[in-house]
Amino acid sequence: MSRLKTLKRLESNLKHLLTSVARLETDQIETLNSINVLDDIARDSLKGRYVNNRLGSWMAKNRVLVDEGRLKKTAISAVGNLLSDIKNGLDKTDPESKKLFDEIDSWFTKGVVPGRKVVLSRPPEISESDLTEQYFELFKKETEQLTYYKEHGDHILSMLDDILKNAEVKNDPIYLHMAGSIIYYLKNKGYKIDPYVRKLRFLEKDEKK
Amino acid sequence: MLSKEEKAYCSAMTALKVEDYSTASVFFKDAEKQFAGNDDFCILQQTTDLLLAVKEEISALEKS
Repeated sequence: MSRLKTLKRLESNLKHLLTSVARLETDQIETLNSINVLDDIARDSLKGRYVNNRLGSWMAKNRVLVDEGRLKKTAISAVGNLLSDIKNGLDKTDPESKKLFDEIDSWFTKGVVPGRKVVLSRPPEISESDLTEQYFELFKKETEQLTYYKEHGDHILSMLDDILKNAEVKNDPIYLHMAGSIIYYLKNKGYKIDPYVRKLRFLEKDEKK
Repeated sequence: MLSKEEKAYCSAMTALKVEDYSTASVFFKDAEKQFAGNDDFCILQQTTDLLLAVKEEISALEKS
C-alpha cells in the first residue's frame, strides 16, 4: 500500500473514532454547552447587565432536561450554583424579573439546587509549606480570573465592582482576597477607595457570621 | 462559574461534533492546564492533533 493510501486510511480511522466519541457524548456535549451559556448569563448578571431575555430563553429551552431528569449530579450542582448567582442579582420589584425569580425557585423545588459546601467548624492544622502551596494555588486562581476580565477589556474599577458582587453572593473567600488586593493597589495609585473599603469590611463581617 | 479551561473543553467538544478539528485542537490546548491528567481528555486531544498532522501530511503528498 502506498504511503498516501496508508495515511488516508489512518485519517479515515481517526475521524471515525472522533466522530463516534462525539456521537456517543452528544447528550453530554449539549448539557455542557447549555451550562456554558448559563455561565455567560451569570457572569453578565453579576456585572449588572440585563439578562432577563436570555435567561428566560435559556430556561424555556432547557426545562426539558430537568423535567426528564437528564441532568447528572455534577450538572445539577453546576446549574443550581449558576441559577443561585443569577437569582441573587434579580430585582424582585420588577414583574419580569420576579417571574424569573419564581421560575428559578421552581427549578430548585425540582431538585436543581446549588452544591453545598462543607464548612469546618475549626480550620485544619496545616504546615508552613502547605500554606505556601495554598497561597500559590490561590494566586493562580486569582490570576486566571483577572485574565478573564482583562480579555473582556474590563476596567480595573469594573473588575473590582464585579469581584465585590461575587464576594457578596458567593461563599468563597477568594473574592474578598482579590478585592482587598485591588483596593490596596488603587490606594497606592491615589484612587478614592473609601466606598470600596466600607463594602469589603461589611462583606468580611458578613462572612464571619 | 466555569473556569476558562472548562469553557474551552465545552467549545472543543462542540467543535469535534461538527468535525471542525482545527478549532477543537485550539480549544483543547486552552483546556489542557486543567484537564491534562484526565485520560479521556488526553485521548481526544492527542487523536485530534494526530488527525491534523495526518491531514497536513496528506496535503503535502498530494501537492508533490
